[in-house]
Amino acid sequence: MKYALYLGCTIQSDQYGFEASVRETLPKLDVELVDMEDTSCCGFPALSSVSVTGWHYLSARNLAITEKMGLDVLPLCNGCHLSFIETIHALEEDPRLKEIVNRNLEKEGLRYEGTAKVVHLIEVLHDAVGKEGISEKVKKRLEGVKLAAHPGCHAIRPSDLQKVDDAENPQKLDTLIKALGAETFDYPEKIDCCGSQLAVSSGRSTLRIAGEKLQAVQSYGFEGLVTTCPFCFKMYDSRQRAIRGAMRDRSIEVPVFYYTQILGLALGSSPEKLGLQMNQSPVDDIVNKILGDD
Amino acid sequence: MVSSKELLKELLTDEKLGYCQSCGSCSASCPMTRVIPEKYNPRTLLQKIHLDPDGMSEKEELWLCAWCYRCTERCPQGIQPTEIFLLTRNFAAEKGMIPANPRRIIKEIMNSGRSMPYGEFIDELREDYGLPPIGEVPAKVLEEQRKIVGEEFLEVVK
Repeated sequence: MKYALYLGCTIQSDQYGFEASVRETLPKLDVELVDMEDTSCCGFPALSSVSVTGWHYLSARNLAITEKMGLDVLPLCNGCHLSFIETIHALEEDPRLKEIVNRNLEKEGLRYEGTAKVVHLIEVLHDAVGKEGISEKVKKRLEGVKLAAHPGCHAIRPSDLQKVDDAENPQKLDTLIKALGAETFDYPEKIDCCGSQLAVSSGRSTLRIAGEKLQAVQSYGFEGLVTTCPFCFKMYDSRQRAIRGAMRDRSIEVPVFYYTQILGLALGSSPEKLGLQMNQSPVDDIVNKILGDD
Repeated sequence: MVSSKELLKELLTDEKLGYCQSCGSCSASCPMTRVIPEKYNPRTLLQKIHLDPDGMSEKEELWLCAWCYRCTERCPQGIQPTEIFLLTRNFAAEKGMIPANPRRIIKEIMNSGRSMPYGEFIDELREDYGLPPIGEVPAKVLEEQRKIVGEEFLEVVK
């Protein structure tokens, strides 16, 4: 298993914990990650909102780089993932747009053909490595820890464009959590949006969207929330204090993890190597519970 | 540049948005409607766009979709509200109507090739966490993206 690693703007400039935990854990599961050179923004959703052509150009440009590398691409961010999927579809449907894009890519010696496959982290872990592949490498089982799965919208919808998991009943992230020995179960708010795409422009409304979910997660007895999306993570983890304020509820206290962070703990990596010191939600108790006495 | 008006026109035809039965699955599934029902309702927004796409360009509600795709997923008529909202935004943007926040992010993408500001401190921080440097996006790329998005359009996002 070998993939071109596309980080995207948010992860490489802001979410070091995600990137560090991915680089720490995936090689342990025999997944080789190759860094991409000269990548740029995927264009979603700000640029796409004002120029669909500009968006597809930027997306296709990054895809063309992976084609040149001869590798399938693993965009770590849910947003970039869907952006690439949408672009592949749009350029397939509209040869005129593909021509415009390629005319511009030619100038830097790139060409978009649509041959590189876009894979999601959940697909790599669930479909390629598999739950047995993970379980057999687990050194420290996460026994007795109840974690809620939050795959995030752009990993599962729209289902006519992608099939990472079922759009209304996603189960793969749950399977991956269970592969570590932790507990999880379905809950009504599992596929709810985190609101992060509007976090800056409509702050108060989106803090309520995220806050209602955190309250629900806590009320079901989950001890933490697990995601693979940097935007959802920022919403639930980094903005949790603001959420408490917006909800006027000081009892909200939900540890939030990237899946690769708890995967790393189970594989025996140190919290520092997984960037856990950068999580802003109260993760320490759970981390200590998982690490036990050593 | 492919005209958004042209693309939007296709989605607003009788064979597309004309099939909307106003069942409200979109609004019932919308996270923004749940918290600000008085301000945002995709079913109503679709009707307004259908009747007068031009008149929607200045409306705030056009920019309140959170891109969760639940309406698109659940629409029994396959209307793709998300796509319609996106193209209506494009249409508004071509006329210079872009709210402050997306305008700021687009400016950043045009200037640095990334939606988040890049400075050397980013690579210093990355080094602290044992991550490889990312460096600047090549100037040539920035030049090309300016051209494809359109010089005329760039006047708008200045």
